[in-house]
Amino acid sequence: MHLHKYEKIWIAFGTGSLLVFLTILGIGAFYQGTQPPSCLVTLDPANVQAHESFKEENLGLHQVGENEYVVNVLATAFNYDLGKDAEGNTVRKIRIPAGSKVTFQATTSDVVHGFQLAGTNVNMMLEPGYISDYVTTLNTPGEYTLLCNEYCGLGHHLMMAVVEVY
Amino acid sequence: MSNTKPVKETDTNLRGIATDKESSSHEPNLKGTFIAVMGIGVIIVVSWFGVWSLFLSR
Ligand SMILES: [Cu+2]
Repeated sequence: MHLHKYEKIWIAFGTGSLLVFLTILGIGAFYQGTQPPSCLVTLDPANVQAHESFKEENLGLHQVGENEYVVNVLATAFNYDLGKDAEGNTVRKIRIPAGSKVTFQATTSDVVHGFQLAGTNVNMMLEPGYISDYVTTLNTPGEYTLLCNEYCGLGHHLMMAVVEVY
Repeated sequence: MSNTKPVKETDTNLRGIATDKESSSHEPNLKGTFIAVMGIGVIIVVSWFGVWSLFLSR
């Protein structure tokens, strides 16, 4: 088959870019362990309290190690439940020291919701019946908005909370 | 009317044969295609690495 010189160049360029992309993705997936936020960990969406992480008293921020935190979040239309503080008030804002390793664990008891910590790599889809989790290190101090990026109904735009890294 | 058609057909055939001979000895000019294809390729590669660096830096 006869190929024009230019055709050979752009076929090589296209194939080469594809190989570079796939190699980088492969290293991320198989060597560095990058995986989708939900690894098919299931629970009963009608009774999320039956799961240890989503019992009412376990929602919100917990320190589990010297520099390690777990944040359990139950999303419902149209709210992120981060538990209650010592005075019994609803938590709207959690504070985490910079450089801590944070595991976000979240699920929904009704419809599909988003879970995006704007300006970070934390960006998951929450599906009823599944636990989504994301482990990250928040290094840059600032206030980050936790918001829903899956249209879930009339109050979708009201779904938010704040994570402060200090 | 009846004798104009065959004359025209012969004309086209002659021209067709002539161009066939030309194109088999010359490569088509793909300079514009090359620039367009590589331009799109560079845009894709640059945006891919842009998104990737955003992911790494956050
Ligand atoms: Cu929503």
